[in-house]
Amino acid sequence: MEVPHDAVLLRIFTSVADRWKMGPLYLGIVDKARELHLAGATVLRGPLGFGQSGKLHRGNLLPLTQDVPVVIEIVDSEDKINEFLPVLDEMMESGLVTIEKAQVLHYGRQRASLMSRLKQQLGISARPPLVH
Amino acid sequence: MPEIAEATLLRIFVAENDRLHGHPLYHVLVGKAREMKMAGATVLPAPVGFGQSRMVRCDLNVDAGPHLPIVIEIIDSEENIGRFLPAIDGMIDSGLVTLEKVKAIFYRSAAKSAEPANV
Repeated sequence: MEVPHDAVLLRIFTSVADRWKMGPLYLGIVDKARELHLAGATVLRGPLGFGQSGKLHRGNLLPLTQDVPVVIEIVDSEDKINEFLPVLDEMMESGLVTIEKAQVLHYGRQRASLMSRLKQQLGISARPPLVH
Repeated sequence: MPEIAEATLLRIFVAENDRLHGHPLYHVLVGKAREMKMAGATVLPAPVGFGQSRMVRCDLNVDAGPHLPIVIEIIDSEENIGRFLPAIDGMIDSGLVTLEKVKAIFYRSAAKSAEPANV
């Protein structure tokens, strides 16, 4: 998967408590992004915030009852993000979605994995497995 | 396609333990935004950071506990952000405030069933 240098940063502001089908909305969005082969997604959780309702969302000592803000960040090409927006539109009931231009300087692995570097160092990379 | 509006993203970088009149500064800023009926505010804590003091604050450093960086994000129209900035002037002793232009889609709970979203 490749991301062009001139990309788009999509940010979705919602609450941990918002639901989509049977689970939390933020997980639904991450799953959907993965299913549609978007480049990646990151979820950030905040202890405090408010939205359209004006109701203060804040964390408390019981993690299971938390109704705190979450931000999902997705960076991909403008085309991929534009394809994703109508899908997202179906999922969002309240919340905020923002779009910004972003320049991608690095995406994914640009050097060999630790395992293949080790193998290369030990000189066993190209050797086929022994057959008895 | 959803309706996309032009908006401004205001980000305020302060420390978790910054205080104003005895209250955590980030609470005061969110409270002010709420009082002024801004579209919303989100507080995002950061595990590591540094600022003008050059002191690296890290959640692995026990001493830095309450000094961790915190980012408050507020997204609203340019006019509303312009109205909010003078209101918080003088509240932030040390920290950073940035402004960015963004495109925004505001989802309002009632919008789906009733009239179309009017941003």
